[in-house]
Amino acid sequence: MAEANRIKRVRREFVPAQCPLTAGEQSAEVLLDFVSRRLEPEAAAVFQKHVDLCPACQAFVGTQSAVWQALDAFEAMPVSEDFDRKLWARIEREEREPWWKRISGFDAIWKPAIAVAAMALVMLGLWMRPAPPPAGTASHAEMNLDVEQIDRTLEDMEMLRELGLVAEAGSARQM
Amino acid sequence: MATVEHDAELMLRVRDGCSGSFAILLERHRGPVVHFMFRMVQNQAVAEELAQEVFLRVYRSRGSYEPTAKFTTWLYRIATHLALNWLRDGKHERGQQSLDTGAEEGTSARQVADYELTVEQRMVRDSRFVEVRRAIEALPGKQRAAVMMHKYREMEYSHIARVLECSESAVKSLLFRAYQTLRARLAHLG
Ligand SMILES: [Zn+2]
Repeated sequence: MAEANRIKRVRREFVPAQCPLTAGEQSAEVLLDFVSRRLEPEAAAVFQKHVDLCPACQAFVGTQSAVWQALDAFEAMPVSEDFDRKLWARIEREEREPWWKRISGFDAIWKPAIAVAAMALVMLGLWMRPAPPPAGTASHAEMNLDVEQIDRTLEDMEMLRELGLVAEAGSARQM
Repeated sequence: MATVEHDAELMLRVRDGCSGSFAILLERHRGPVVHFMFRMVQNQAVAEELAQEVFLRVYRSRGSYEPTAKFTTWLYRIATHLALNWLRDGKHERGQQSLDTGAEEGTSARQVADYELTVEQRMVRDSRFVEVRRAIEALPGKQRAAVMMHKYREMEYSHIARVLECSESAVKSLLFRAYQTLRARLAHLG
């Protein structure tokens, strides 16, 4: 792998007389690189000489090597065979959506706005509603108007509910 | 000899509408991204779902793609962002569950070589595996991401820094602290 090959060519400056453990955590990278075999052979040989003489670095290298090996045990699983198929299906589904649904954050902005608008409409309807006529004077035509009004309100509510559901489905997909 | 096209060149073609180039990028990075996610969230189903989201976001933003940074920097920045968000939002509810399911998932991933091991060896290996996972799970999200990129993707400090959008010395510090924790918990396995 290109990344790994390049890492091994990185030059490291190491002063053999100075213990990286006493020079702070920023200097300890030479220890990490030594254990993960990222030092150039030349630099590794110089550092090895220090490790041979320094008990602190010996201990560090010992435990870090153990961790490095232990982490190899954390194998990853093979990827599901239908990974690509699922992804392309999601891409196709998304591309079929109208442009305004594809805008990231659309639901977050418009869902509350729709709710507020619905509330305002209901309030306006209540405010503009004519005062009820005296009991027993309601004509047949007025009765019909009330039924139509209720129907319209129910339709509006149904439409808003559907919009809400569409928005929810959209946000679930974005998870 | 076939030329290996750079990720950035492929991505520019995706920007121009070539879905075949996206398929090549997917083929190249699918495994590494899913594996990175699996080690971050420790649950295969969640890892694949999040990896799908990574590629979906790459595809979605193809129109505005500019090769100013390495493609993998961009890719792992999205992946890390999603993984860290997932960990932040649901760690407490899902943590233990993922570890339990994951332990089974992990062992089944290595069934191929199982016949070569005795029952005892298999038990040792599996308990080692669970111990490593628990140790990794104990790391804070950003430290975990840094270790995953350092150990399993063999990224340079500067590259990890660009992914995490921090300084190189901050990455060294993250790694130093992360390995310190791991040494305390895992050194006995050596
Ligand atoms: Zn030393």
